[in-house]
Amino acid sequence: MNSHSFSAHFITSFVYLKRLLPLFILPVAGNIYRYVMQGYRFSSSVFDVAVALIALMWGLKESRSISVKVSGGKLFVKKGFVFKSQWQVDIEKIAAIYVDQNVLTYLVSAARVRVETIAGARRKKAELDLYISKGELPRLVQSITKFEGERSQKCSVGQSLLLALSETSAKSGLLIFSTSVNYLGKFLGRRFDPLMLKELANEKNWDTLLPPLLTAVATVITAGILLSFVVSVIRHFSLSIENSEALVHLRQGVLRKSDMYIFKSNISAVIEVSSPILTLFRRKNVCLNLVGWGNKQGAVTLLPAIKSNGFSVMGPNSVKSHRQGIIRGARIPALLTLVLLALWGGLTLILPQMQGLWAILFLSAAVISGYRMFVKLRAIKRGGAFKTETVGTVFAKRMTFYQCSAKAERVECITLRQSPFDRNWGMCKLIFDIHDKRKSRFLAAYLDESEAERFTSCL
Amino acid sequence: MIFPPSRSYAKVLRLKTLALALPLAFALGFLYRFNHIPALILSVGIFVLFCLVWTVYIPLSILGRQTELKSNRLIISYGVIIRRRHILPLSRAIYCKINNGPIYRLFGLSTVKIHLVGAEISIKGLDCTRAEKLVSYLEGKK
Repeated sequence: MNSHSFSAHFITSFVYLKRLLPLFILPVAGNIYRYVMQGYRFSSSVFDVAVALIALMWGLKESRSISVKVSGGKLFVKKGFVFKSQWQVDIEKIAAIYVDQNVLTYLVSAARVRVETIAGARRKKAELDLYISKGELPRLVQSITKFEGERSQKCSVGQSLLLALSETSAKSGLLIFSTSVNYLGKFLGRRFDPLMLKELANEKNWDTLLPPLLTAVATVITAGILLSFVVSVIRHFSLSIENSEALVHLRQGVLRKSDMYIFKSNISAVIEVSSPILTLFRRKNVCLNLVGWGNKQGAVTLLPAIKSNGFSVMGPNSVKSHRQGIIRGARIPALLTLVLLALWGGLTLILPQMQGLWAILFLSAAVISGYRMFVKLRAIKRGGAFKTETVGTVFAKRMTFYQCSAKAERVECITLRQSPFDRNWGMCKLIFDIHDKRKSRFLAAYLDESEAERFTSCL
Repeated sequence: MIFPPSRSYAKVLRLKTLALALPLAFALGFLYRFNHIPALILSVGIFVLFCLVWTVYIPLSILGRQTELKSNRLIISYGVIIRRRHILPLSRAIYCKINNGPIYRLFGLSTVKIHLVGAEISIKGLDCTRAEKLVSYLEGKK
């Protein structure tokens, strides 16, 4: 039986140093007290140095005490020298392995490894979190995953742009707004001049001060969004996926590289997401929910945008939305759209001096609200809950369309929720709790009550 | 098999309502010192709300709360304005816990918490013996 042992890299001691930062509060507080109350300058005493040394030694000792062993299909972990702990887990109960490398760890030839098990739903941190040397990393990953990558899929430039746009869609809206304000400021003839601004601020002349200030703020926001967009494109372009029978390997990042190994048997749900930009290009994103992964960072993984195949999942064991749901679901966005359009129309026609910025704002808001209504109507009309080999729901949230599916064995609990309106029209909302702790549970609203009851019985 | 809530649960709910009402009453009394009319209006409104909760909401809440154990599933219903019904296959439960604080113990009540992989379901207001019976049945059926 092959057995592999690994030890933590010395950089792990700095991770423990970070956790011992509260110890440094005392010397810092003491210095502040001396400075404020007694007028002494900042200084360090023997006590301060001792605290720093103790923390450093503690961190080093903790990092040396970590040992990881893979043997006989199990992972054995021992750590701690004062508060000791040891545990073991079957390899098949591991949900995913996350390997992270940033500039600092690259310089010291180390990588951060996080291993999460299927029982990690209520923890905020991964079950195992340590730094190991780059030389040992492939051996550790191979001993746990036995991964031999087969098909490799990379993100093209077009897909990267799409994904970046859809990720930053809210920011894109802000980008359009800030650019408009920028141009509007220039159009109004108020150029940005710091000296002039200072004079106006002293005089408290807000009427003349506001447009150039807006222009300045808009310029900064625009620059920030453009930068985040470029970083997002680069990050997605660096994404590559390797697939085997039991495992999916994702690699992403340029400055901060991350590898994720996902055991397919521990995927709790697959969610197909269509955001506004992706819908425009008839693409959708695929996210994987992992069993037990409560850590926000690793809970959902994005795959490159794939072509939409339409929704062909409604079969004999499906529940469609109630007709009244369309009225209920659409009335508030419809009302909001009408109000915004009326405001835009009224302002431009009745108060011509209010044209420009306010008109752009109201029109943009009306368009967004209208699109939101359209997505919701589409989800209600086509949506519902379905059960074939898997259980799933189709619903819309804000401006994004979700189609979620999970194996029936992963469903933990079904909830039927009825508001007074639902009770009046014989409707209910179906909510599935599946094997993870994601807040966005599967849900299907505006279903016929009797059909939803029948649906739960076939689970 | 049905596990209805205990009658004492209504007393616990009323005690909780009183506990919430007392600081409100103090706050209103403090407001009265500065401005009589708004304080009086608020007092009347809160008193009406309090009576409604005491006489209507709490009894309806007890009536609507039910735990039913069928052959392979547990169905938990509760709620007054928004009704909820949890349907839980028995095989999904990881383990069960019985909790009872001092107030609950005074009235002979317990809360059963069923832990799943990613969620927790609570059944409140059960008699101690009924809670133990439910848990032993769930543990046997897992």
